[in-house]
This record gives sequence, C-alpha cells and structure tokens, in this order.
Amino acid sequence: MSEELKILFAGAMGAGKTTAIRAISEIPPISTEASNSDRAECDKEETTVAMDYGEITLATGEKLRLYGAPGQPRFQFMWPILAAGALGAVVLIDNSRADPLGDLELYLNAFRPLADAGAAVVGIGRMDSFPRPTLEAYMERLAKLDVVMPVIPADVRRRDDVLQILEVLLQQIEAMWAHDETVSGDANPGHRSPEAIS
Amino acid sequence: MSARVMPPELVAAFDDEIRRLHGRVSGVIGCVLATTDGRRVSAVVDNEADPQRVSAMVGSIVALGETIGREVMIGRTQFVAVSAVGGMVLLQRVPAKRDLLVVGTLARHNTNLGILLHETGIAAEAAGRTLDEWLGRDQRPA
Amino acid sequence: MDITEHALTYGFHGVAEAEQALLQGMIRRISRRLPGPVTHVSTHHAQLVFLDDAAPPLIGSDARLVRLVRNPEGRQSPGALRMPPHVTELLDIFSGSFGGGSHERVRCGAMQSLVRSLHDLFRTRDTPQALLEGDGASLILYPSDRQFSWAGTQHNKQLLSEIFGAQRPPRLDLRALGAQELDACGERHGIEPLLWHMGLAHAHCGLLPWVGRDDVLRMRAWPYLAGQGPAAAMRLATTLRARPRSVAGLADAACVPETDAVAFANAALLCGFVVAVAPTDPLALPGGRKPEDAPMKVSGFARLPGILGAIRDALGVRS
Ligand SMILES: Nc1nc2c(ncn2[C@@H]2O[C@H](COP(=O)(O)OP(=O)(O)O)[C@@H](O)[C@H]2O)c(=O)[nH]1
Ligand SMILES: [Mg+2]
Repeated sequence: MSEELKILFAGAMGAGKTTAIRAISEIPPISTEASNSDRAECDKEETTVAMDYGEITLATGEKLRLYGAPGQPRFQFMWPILAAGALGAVVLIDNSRADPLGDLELYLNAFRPLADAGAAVVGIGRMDSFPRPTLEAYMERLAKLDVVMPVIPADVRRRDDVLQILEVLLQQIEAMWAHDETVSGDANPGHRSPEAIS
Repeated sequence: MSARVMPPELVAAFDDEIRRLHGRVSGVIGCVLATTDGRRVSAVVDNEADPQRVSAMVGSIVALGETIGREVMIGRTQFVAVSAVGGMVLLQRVPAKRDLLVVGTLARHNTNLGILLHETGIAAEAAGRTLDEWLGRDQRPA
Repeated sequence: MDITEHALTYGFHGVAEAEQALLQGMIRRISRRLPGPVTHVSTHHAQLVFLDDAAPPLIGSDARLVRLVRNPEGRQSPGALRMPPHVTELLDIFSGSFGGGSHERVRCGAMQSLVRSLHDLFRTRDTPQALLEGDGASLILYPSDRQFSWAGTQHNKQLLSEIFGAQRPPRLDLRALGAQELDACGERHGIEPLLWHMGLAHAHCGLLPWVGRDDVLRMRAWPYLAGQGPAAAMRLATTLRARPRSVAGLADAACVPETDAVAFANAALLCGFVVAVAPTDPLALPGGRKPEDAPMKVSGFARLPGILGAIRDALGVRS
C-alpha cells in the first residue's frame, strides 16, 4: 500500500497554482521558478518550470503533498509524472486568458482519468473582472466533453477559497469511495496509473 | 528578454556555438540550447528526439537539479547528469549576468564523461559571453 | 420579554432597513412550519444574527452569525446567505404571496402549475419569447436563450404580487410577444437562478409534480448554483455525482434531512442539471466508471475515510 498522499494543482501559466499552494502549505513551498521568457503569454516575472511543492502534516503523521504542475503545454511531460498516484487534482482556470474554455479542455484531457473517477475539481479565477465565459458556458463545454465535474469560482489569493475547492474535492472522493465500496464490497486496493496524456 | 524578440544575429551566434560543440566531440549526438523556462533557442539533434520537448525538459531538470542541491545544502549546482545504458545527457546553466539559458548535451554511452563535461562547459561559457555582450549592447535593464 | 416562548429569535447588526424587511419576509416564509413564533429581538438576545461586515460584540451569547453577501454573481463562501436581488424579488412575489393563510393546498396547486408551465416552456425551448401575464403584469421569458426579464417597471411587479396574493392559482397565459412589446423589456437575466430558487421554494409542496418518489435522479451537469442553497447542497451534489439515486436514497447517502434532498432535487431538476428516470430505465444504473479508476485505491482503499478526515482536520475544514 502506497503511503503517498498527494493533490495536484494544474492549469495555465498565471492561473494561480503556485499561489494556491502557498496559501495552504505549512512549509514555505519549494518552487522551481525560472525567468519567464514569454511575457506575451503571461506578464509575470517568473514561471514554474518543473513543479511547486508544499506539504501539510496530518495527525496520522503522514504528509499530504501538494504539487503544482508547470502550466505551459511544452511541460506536458511533467503532468503524468506528477499526477501518478494522486488522490485528486485541482484544475485552475484564469478567466482573463484568451481562451479559457480551450484551457479547460487541454487540462481536462490531460487529467481525464482523475476527472472520470470523481477526483478532480475546476476552480475559475478572475471571474469578477472577467465574467465571460460564464459558468453556464463551462457547463456546456463539459457536457460536450461528456464530463460531470464541479466548477467553482475562486480567488486563490484567499485561503478560504482554496479550502472550499479542496473540500468539494474531498467530498467527491468520499462519495466515490462510498459508491465503490457498495459496488466491490471489499477493500481491495486495486491498481491504477493515471495515464495522463503527454 | 523574450525568445520571441531574440534577434536573428544572436540566435545565429548560438547556432554556431551549438554546431561547434556537436562537431568537436565525436560521441556527441545532440545539443540543445534553451531558455531557463524551457523554450528552444537552438538545437542540433542526430536522432529522433524532438528538440522542442527536449528543451522544456532541460529547463525543468536543471531547475530540479538546482532545487535538490539547495535542499541538501551542497552549494551551487554545476551540472546535472543522466546516465543511461544507451548514452548520457549533461545539463547545465549558461553562466551569464542573467540566468536566462540552459544547455543540454546528449552523447553515446562510450563517450568520455570528463571530456564531455569540459566541452559542454566551454560551449556554455561561450554562449554566456555572447549573451552578456548582447545584453550589454542592448542596454536592457538587468 | 420571555424569549423562551419563541421558537426562534433573530436580530440584525448593521443591516439596512430595506434589507431587514426583505430578510424578514424570507424568514417568515421559511419559518412557517416552526412550532412557535419567530421573533425579531435585540442582537444580544438573538439566536440568529444577520450581520453586514463587522461582527457584533456578543458577550455570553451563543448566537449563530449569518453574514450577508450581496454580490449578485457571488462567490461561494461557506455559511453565507446569498441570493441575486432579481431572484429574491421574484421569489418574494411568487412564494411570499401564496402564504399568509392556511391554504396549503391552493398554494401548492398554484406553485405546481407554475413550475410545470415554466418547466415545459424551457424544456421545449421552441417558443422564442413568451409572456407570463396576469392583469397586465408581465414577466418576459426567453426560453430559447434561457433568460427572463421584467416588462416595464416596479408597478408591474406589484401587480403580479397582488395577483398571487389573491390566493388563486396564477394565470399563466403564455403568448408570443410583438416586436414593440419586446422593446419595453428590461435587462435580461439567466433563467437558472430563478428556476433554482423556485425549485427550492417548491420543496414545501414536495417533489416536482412530474417526478415520482422512486424515480432515479441522475446528474447530467454539475449544479453550479449549489452554493445558493440548501445548506447541504454541495454534499448532495457530490453524492449524486458519484452515482444515480432516488431522492430518499440520496438523502440517506448524504446524511441530510429528506426535505433538503427534495429541495436540491427540485432545483437541480428544474435547471436540467439532473434528470429523473424510471427505476427500470437502464440510465438508472450506476454510470460506466470503472471502479479501478478510483484514485484512492492507490493509497489504501479501506483507510480512505480516515485519511480524508485527517486531511480535513489539518486544513481546518468541517466535513
Ligand atoms: N485579480 C486576481 N488575481 C489573481 C486571482 N487568482 C490569482 N491571481 C494572481 O495571479 C497570479 C498567479 O500567479 P501564480 O500563482 O504564479 O500562477 P501559476 O503560474 O499558476 O503558478 C498571482 O499574482 C495571483 O495573485 C484572482 O482571482 N483575481
Ligand atoms: Mg507557478
């Protein structure tokens, strides 16, 4: 039985993955920032190139590991590495970007096994200043992709918003667990490799 | 600096440097110069490896190498090496006034590691000088 | 005053008068089934304190605090009371005016026919515009765009309110609109929040009239309005997302009172986030997710509830 407990934060550059992890990690997050050479894509000084890493210690002594994936599609090779064995994934979307629905599709495809297993949540940032696409539009896109998953407006600069996203994620995982238990009726620790595409 | 606005003369100078490294060591089958955030600047690759993907990986792995170096408190990381049955990869930063570039060299497994290290270092330094010169001439804020 | 005689006492802190009136209307409606009077008292004696911004200093009181949030596109924030103002207005007219007496059956009959008409209209989507009209008051519905607006002014809303207040089933004359009539219409709003709240309000009259108790509810889209109530909506949503269930089964699985499950089901059904199918329908079977896909199996299947509890404790979120 693996002792690894991890939650992955994914999403485009500037969506707030590093910010979200910083909001809840109990250690100063370890990050792999490099000078951002693509200011047209996102106007910020630095960008994560390998991963962010934060931790939360549980009462059981175990650590909940928080990983942030680098956002740009060229780093797709890191995504399945970081997603392997994850308890769940949070996909962050920045509503001010050129094509937020396209972003949703990209990251959803990458983490589809987690989404299908009820272990993924979408958080949408900057909705107050960029109300479009609306939540309805997100729902329509998800319906087209044949996925039912939570979409929650969130400003990850606020710890409470990050916690709410995580709470919905935990509730979903719990609900799936209860469902699986009634299906399989035993505690058979099957196997799974979240074969996120690369 | 943005790779998009890197002038063609600068990229040409980097191309020369990368080609020289590739030609200088017989076992070298690929060289990649990339931005620290993983965008391809210049590459020569003899096998099927995709330079765009490799550039992103070079960026990530140099950053990870440096992160682990810091974590275990062994000082500044000089290079990261990957040794495989069919060859090896050396990755390092380009030493310059600003940390903007990384270089990766792919070589056959029978290549002498010392020579590979030395030659990659020389190429990185040359690329660093070219970059510094350009940064100075361009009067860009550091 | 002996506050022990009251079923519930509430107070306001820093809440504008107009909003107090609105809230009192809502409270009156919500509390009709309580066994005793619901009374407005001073903040210090209240069991429930509605507040705006800063919390009142409450020494020795164990009042529950309810912070008002009025951003119409409001973000989810736990424990917040939040209703877009246009929805509140409409709800006030519809459900508020059905009340005021013991005419439960009339009220539910009216509610049911209203809900059914709206549902049919928005399901077919084929009427481009329609008018819900009673003695000149009008509500414009745009089923093809899934939107609504008020025609004209405040006066209209009052008229509508009086019609419903007369305790007869609302007359739902739906008709197509003329071009110049359309010009008089105000700002359009998405219909979903309205349908959602109508669904919640309908819970006093049970499940939607066309839904059977044994019908199986199946989620088609995430109910993104779950933050607007009922309190356990998020839990109900995650539970139903995991697999289709009857409303009683849902209440059971989510460990919430059945009235909450009914309210959630009504709201989600009206908006189309959830569909009801006969128990014999193949769609009533759990979805095609392979249990091997479940991520939690990796880290010790049986231990999962314990782990999730430990994570919640560490994050400081309630379950
Ligand atoms: N205005 C606004 N800014 C936000 C919101 N969410 C995140 N940000 C900001 O967006 C930036 C996100 O950067 P970062 O966390 O590095 O993104 P990453 O690339 O996903 O790791 C930070 O400067 C945040 O303060 C939001 O909802 N509204
Ligand atoms: Mg980042």
